Amino acid sequence: MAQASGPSPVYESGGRHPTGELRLQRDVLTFHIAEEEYGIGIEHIREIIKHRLVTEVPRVPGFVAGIIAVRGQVMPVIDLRQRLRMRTAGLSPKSRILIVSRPAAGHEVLSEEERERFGLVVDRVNEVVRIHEIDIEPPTVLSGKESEFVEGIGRVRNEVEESARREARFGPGMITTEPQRIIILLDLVKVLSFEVMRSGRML
Amino acid sequence: MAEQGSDKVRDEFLSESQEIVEQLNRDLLAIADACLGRDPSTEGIRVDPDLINSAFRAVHSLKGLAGLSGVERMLHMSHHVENLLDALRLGKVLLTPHVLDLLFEAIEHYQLICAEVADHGLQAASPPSALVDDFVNRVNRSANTAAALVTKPAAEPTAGDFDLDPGLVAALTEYEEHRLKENIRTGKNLFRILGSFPLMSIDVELENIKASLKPVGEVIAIVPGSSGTDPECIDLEVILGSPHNSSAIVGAVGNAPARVMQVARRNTSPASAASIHPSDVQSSGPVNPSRPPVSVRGTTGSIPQVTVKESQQQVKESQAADGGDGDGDGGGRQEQGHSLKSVSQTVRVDIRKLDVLMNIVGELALTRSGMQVVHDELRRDRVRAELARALQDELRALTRKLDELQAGILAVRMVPLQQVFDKLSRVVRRMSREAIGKDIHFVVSGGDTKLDKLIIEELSDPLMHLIRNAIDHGIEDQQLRLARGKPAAGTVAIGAEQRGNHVVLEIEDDGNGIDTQALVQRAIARGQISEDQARDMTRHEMYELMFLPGLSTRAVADETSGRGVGMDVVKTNISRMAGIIEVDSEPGHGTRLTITLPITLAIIQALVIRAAGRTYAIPLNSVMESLMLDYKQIRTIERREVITLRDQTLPLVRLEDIFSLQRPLDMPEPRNGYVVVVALAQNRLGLLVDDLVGQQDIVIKSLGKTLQGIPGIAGATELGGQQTALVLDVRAVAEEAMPRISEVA
Repeated sequence: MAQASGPSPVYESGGRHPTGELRLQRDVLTFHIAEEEYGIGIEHIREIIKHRLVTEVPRVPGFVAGIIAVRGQVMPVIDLRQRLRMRTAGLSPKSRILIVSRPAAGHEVLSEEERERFGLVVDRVNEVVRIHEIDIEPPTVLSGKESEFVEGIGRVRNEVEESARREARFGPGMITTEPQRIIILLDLVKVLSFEVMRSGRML
Repeated sequence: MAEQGSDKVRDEFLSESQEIVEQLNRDLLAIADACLGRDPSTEGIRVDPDLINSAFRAVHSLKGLAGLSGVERMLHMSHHVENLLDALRLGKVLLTPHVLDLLFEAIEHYQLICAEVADHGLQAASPPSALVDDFVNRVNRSANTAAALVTKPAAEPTAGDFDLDPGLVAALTEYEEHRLKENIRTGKNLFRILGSFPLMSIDVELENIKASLKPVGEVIAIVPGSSGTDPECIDLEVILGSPHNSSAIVGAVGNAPARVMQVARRNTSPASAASIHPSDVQSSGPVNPSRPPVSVRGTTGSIPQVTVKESQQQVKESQAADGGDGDGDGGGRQEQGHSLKSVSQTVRVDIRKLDVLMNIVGELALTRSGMQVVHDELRRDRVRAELARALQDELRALTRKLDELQAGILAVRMVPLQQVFDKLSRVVRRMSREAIGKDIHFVVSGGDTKLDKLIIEELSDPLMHLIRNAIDHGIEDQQLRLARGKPAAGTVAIGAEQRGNHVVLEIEDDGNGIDTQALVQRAIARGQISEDQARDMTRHEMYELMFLPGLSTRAVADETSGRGVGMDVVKTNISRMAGIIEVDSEPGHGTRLTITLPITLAIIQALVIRAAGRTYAIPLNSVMESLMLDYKQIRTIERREVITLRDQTLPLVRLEDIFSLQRPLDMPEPRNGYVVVVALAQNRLGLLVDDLVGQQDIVIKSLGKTLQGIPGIAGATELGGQQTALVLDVRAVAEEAMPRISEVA
């Protein structure tokens, strides 16, 4: 059970930067869904757990797999495949649930404990990579349906210096990156924003 | 970082000021209570000076707090309200209804300021506000005009009539002197209680003696006595005003190491100037041998000299005790026994921290079940049976302690309903002043009944609404009341009582009662029920109509109770807390609303069931019974499934239909199962389930912001082994399953 602690000390909490603040690079946890490699800023990742029994919840969109309780806290679990409008896949031993906290919206100030948490089901967790801002393209290069959840397309530089630095930071044994590796950076706010059925009578 | 720091300061300011304002409110209500039925026109009202003092202290604390936190508006206002209260306790201002209203108004201003701080931060309440300035002006005007009204009655006894040492009188503070004169003026007897107290325990001893004297009179002042011989002890003299005679005082002092002397009156008839011989009044109780002997010095009429040195020392001490607020107008506010040490032994805790603790307890319980599994495994191994037994013992002890821990945390969450009742009292007081032609007698009982803090918070608004409704729509105009042979003042009563794991709240009025026909007519007019439905309705079903959205029996909306948008919200809020509201009414005689609430939302008893391959928990408080059922007994009426239970038709609901659940492919349609009978107001409903797993205590948890509010789901709970289950909101399920009922019930 890997545990990512707090925001990266190097950067402001990432994701969106309405202020247009300059960030030179960001650390991203990458994972696989189908054949594609996706990434989420590590500052949003709280924990990575093995897949466990998810309790189904009625009256929610199909991509909400249900709920789990982690350390006493109940949270929705989103099947990222379905959320990205891909066909759902059976569980494999490599399936993981990423526990993420919802990024602050606008100017709201919430402590880490007050943020809502979600579980994201992914096929396989890969590694943490550092992506330079200049290597991130806007999602407009895509015209597919999934671009509504994409914040940008990141390219990982295949430099010896870069992998040496990574090795120093994250320990040896990291996979050497393939040339022209593309990582689809997810817009977590959009992924986590959806409505569930609420009858007017109840409210 | 700086922002977080100021947030913390703001939160502390809010929680502390809220507490003090609540105290002030209680004091004012007690003062208002004492004023009831007195004629304030000429003399003003005399109430227990301790109440005025307590209110004064509360405002003084608010002033200090506001100064510390830089909330200028509150500081400014407190300063003037404090002056008014000071004048009040010094007798310079008479306690008139007008003054009392001003003081109550202060509470509202305090709350406005707090709300502003809560919303916009501490600085928000710094710029002056016209509202507060206007209020301050009225406070000052009242303080000044009232002062002019005070006339010194001529032929009344004065301090000079008593055999009191002028030196002693000079050492008194302005307030103490005022109280002394007040006691003399009202014909009280004066006593001096002399005691010698060990320095080690003086504060405790003083509190004790003050407490025992309180029932028999008023402690006017406590001054240092003549210099004692024992350096470990300090001699003190309590000056007491009392309507009682000396033997009552001696009785009250009891075993305390003190001596009682009555101060003789001068120039009065011998009969009333009953000077008592010291031997009569010396405390007759056994003196604790560990204490130094009481210094017997001075006899009746001869007053020990208070040396200048001692009185200076006293002033010094008082200033220190006053918290050194240094605003220079502190004359007369020295309070004996007033120290920097906090009087209350309470700690304010953020309720979320308790939730965290409760979560940990829940997890410990799960860990414990894990250990139980290990134990069971161990027991099968013959070699380790001994070890298994030892483990079982430890597990039992752990279970017991976990239960205690859980109960302990729950107890911390419990707060008395009195907090809410106090707020209601204030609203009623204001309403009955504003509502022309209505005099309201508000009766509160069971304020010490405790409920979970979260429930209490959620409860204030619905209760406020119900009380307002009772006053606005329930209580008739005085003329009508008199014509009906009722007392002119209408009674609105609220009471609370704990019954098992529930708290029952009753709100009763002796007003109009509910006009069921008007309700029915309006419901028909609004198309919420048909005329046919109306014909079949029982009286209770008609009452339930008032919880329909938008239904009000009053054609005209008014400021306080609004347009009838409230009752459905009230009902929704109460059901959200797993509560039930019931109505009973007698036309022309009054209405009674009964609200039943669980004591805590944190832990409930639940029935765990399985349906369509899923596990759910049903709160036991909504379950009436459960029974086995052969599905052959199911009949249909208009395609709706029913069974006959004890000669009554019970409609059935399948969870898979309500929640559109797919039965797992490998699970065939069962031939028999169970019916869980749940109650919905006057109606019953059967939930058809595959299996009953059992009954257990569960901790209900929120599904989080995104998923909360799904109709039919109240929350989730952990069942152990990383398994979670949804907790059903039975009421919502039933309402949805039977729209016909939900319209009526």
